[in-house]
Amino acid sequence: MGDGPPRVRGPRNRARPRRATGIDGRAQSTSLDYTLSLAIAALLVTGLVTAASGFVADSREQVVRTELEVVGEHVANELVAADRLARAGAETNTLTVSKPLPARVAGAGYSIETNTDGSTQWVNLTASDPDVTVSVRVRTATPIAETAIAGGTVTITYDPSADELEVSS
Amino acid sequence: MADLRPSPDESETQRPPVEGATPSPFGVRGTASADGRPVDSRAQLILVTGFVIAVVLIALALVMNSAIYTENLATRSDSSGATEAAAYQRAVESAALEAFEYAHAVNDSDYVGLNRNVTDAIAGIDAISTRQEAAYGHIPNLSVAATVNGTAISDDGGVFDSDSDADNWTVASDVSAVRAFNIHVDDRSDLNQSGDREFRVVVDPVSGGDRWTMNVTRDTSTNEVVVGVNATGSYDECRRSTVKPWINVTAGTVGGEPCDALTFAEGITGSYDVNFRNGTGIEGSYSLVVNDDVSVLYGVAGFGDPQDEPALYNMTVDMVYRTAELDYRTKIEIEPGDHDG
Repeated sequence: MGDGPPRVRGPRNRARPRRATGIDGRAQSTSLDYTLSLAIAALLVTGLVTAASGFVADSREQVVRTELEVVGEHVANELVAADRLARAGAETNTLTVSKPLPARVAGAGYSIETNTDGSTQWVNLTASDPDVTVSVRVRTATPIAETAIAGGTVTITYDPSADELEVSS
Repeated sequence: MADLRPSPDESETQRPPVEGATPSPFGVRGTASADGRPVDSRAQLILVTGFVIAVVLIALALVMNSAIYTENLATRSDSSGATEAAAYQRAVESAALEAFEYAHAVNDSDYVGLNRNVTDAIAGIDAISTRQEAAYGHIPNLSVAATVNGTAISDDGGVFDSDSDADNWTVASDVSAVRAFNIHVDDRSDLNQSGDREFRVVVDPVSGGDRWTMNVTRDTSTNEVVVGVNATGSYDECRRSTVKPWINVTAGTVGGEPCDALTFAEGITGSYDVNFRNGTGIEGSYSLVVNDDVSVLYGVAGFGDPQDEPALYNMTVDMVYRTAELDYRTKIEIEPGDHDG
């Protein structure tokens, strides 16, 4: 380090030589420059973060939907298997099937609901955050009791007296 | 997070304050404030942005992890054992049916022997299958829950008259179920034409009411075998051009083809008598099993005479199948040739 004038580093200062006309206009130009740069940078950063957050949110919703579909298919599969077993024997006394399923899908809790609409049976899965609902159709000869349970391990029980399958947690 | 800012000492020694240096939103390097102090707060915007982007990337990684888990979950096979239980149930049903028929083939002298045969056979199936299933962590159990004594009635040739040569006679009285009822027509030309001499099977309810009637005749114009059924007050028929047709009465087939009109004892409830009318109007053989343990129906049988022998009408097998996630207990009914399916 010598005693000469201090050098200012940075491309902007190198590209723009110091004015020799005095110091009157320098502060204004610098402030405007600073404000504009700050605004543009903030805008870019905000846009980047917003886009990235939106992408993550969309991806998460898609993953939640896909996972609910998979879970729904598993529940439907177990219901059909239970129906087949209940119908296979001449007289089914006991039938209990447990199916371990994830309690949360992509970090979101969900509920499983069985619904019978006329001759059509449905398994509806609903996640609250993000708000996603998936319906899977089930075809069973045995009626399915209408229930709603929280997601997680599912137990399917056959009730011989009522001749129906019941989904419980 | 590591502090990327240079220490105050370093700033002062290596980057002295510069008069009139231009600040920027990305920080000021080597600059000083108006009072000449070095500026510490540099590149905050980039740091904050970088931090936010890092958090977003971590969130994205977690979401992608969930997606991978989903694919993993989707490709998992049935783990509860329900499929294996259904396969086991079918295997037991098939094996028990074989055992049931074999028990009658090796010993059909009395009910005690028949019961012992089926019980031993089911115990054998249980022992073998338990060892096989235990290898997969599944626990099955089989046992004979009940058997129903019955009587097998058959005639191996000639006309369908009684042992006392009666044309109209009762084959079995006061029975509530019949299985494996087969009639074989030796030659359709022996069949009487429709009319008063046609051969008929008449199911007559003990408590009264409508009868169920099946007649077997030949249409002389087309030379077809005609099986007519009068059930619940309506008449319907099936026609076949087979020369020597089998009529499976309880299965509802004529000449190997399904006959929609033929449903044995349709509309009959409770006990009933099975009668043959105009037994000389047909030639061939027949067999049926009724759920009645009549000790002696007929006398010593000669060729062309009906004969009876002890038989089990059906057998009920208790089946238990357990896995870590399945508890299944059912009854399997073995009843070969049952008209209820």
